[in-house]
Amino acid sequence: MLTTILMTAIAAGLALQPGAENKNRPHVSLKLISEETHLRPGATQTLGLVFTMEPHWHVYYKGLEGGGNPPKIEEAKLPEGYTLGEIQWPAPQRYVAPGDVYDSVYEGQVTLLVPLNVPKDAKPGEKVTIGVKMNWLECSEVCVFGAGESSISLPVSADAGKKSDDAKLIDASRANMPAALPTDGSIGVKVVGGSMTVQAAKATRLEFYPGPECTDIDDPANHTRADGPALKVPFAGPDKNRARGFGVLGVWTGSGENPAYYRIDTSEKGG
Amino acid sequence: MKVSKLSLVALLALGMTIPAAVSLAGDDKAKKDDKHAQHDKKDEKKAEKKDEKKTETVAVGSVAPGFELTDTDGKAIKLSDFAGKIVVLQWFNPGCPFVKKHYEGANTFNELNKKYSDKGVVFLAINSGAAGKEGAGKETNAAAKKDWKIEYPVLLDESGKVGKTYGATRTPEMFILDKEGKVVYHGAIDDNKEMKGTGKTNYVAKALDEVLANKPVTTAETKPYGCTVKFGS
Repeated sequence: MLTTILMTAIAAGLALQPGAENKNRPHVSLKLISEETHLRPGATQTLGLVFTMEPHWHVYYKGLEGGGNPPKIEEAKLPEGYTLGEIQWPAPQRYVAPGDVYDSVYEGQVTLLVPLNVPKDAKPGEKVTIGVKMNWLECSEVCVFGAGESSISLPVSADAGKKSDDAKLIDASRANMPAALPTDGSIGVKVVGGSMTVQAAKATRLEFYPGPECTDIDDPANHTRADGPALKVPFAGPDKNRARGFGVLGVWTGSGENPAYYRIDTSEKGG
Repeated sequence: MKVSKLSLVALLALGMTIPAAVSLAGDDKAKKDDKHAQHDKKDEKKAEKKDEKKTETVAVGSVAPGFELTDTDGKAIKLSDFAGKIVVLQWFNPGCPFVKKHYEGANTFNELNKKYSDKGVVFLAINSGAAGKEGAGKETNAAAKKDWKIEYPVLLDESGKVGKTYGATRTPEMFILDKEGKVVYHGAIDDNKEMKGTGKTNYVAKALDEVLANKPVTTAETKPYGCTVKFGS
């Protein structure tokens, strides 16, 4: 039984069958990268999970439950003493499918960050291989189960950290990591009467990408974006009057292409 | 098969349930149709309102909107054909890997149908994919029905109207309607949204057991998981 399920999943996700229109071939690739050229004993370093997608294909952000399966580490292949932390998700982008079905996704290329804890007793001079086996849902107009493995070998050294050639991808991802809301009150977020309101005086555009803890949103395709300084996100369902706004806010100012991203959690003090 | 009114009364008097295939004759049927016509009218109004907010779902506890669709054999099927029965609606797309996992990896839907159709529960699969989209079209769905040995109708909703009226957004996405036509469950088939395997709890089976035992449904709403419904617009 398990074998059948596994084989089905593998056939759906990985099979490379001949033929011009093979919908089952992978459209998304995975590469594991390291921010630094070597591993430092006792340090927590940053690895990147780089997903490269064909045009029009996307993978999913860890957003609302039910909104597509985000990449997941099925198995980490680590030497003894090494551990991985939680995946850090840069801000996603909105994706509205026909019929106004909303999802938060990544298109083009995205680098998810994951901390690697190097044990104190890692021996300088050793070469260590770190590997991950992952699965995800990849979709364009159609959806396919995606899966992949990637590994990287790095030497252990007590030398000071040194950036690798791949570090720029990790830096780019960090630039899109949501920050805490500014404390100067320039952005106001509150939940009143079953809706979350966002006020950002200088914004020319606001977008909200709900995260997994967010209360259901009424018609998210039409209620999570505003071309201006105010956004009202109405909640839906039985919990709407004790709603929690949770996710990422994108704030565009002026004619800038690059928004600033903030973490939103209205259950936090002063949120 | 026709049964005279007298024998119907006799059957009822004996406390027996009417077999699924029995068609009600004469006045009873007319009354039933009337009742459904009223429902359908109400539902049309609701549907008009819905156009403004396309993805709001039909609420649990509300009367399910009526519909008429054709199946893969070209046969017209109305929701009101099943008046007085428990109906399970399954949003369907044979190209969606999450649907496949329940027909190929496991046999979830066929097993549910086998178990509950004997108890008078009606299963209907609905494909709201638009023409040209993944898994849409009569031939594709007829082939899937045959290959997967699906014994219940697969209905085609290429305009997406029924899907949007119900607010279905994923495949598979499930609705259970009780004998009065009220939605008593809406959501996922089970609690395993992973790409492999099935869940420990099958929400539909659990809800059906409760409805059949005249108990309230304890888990009436869950988040459906799967692919997006391939609407045309």
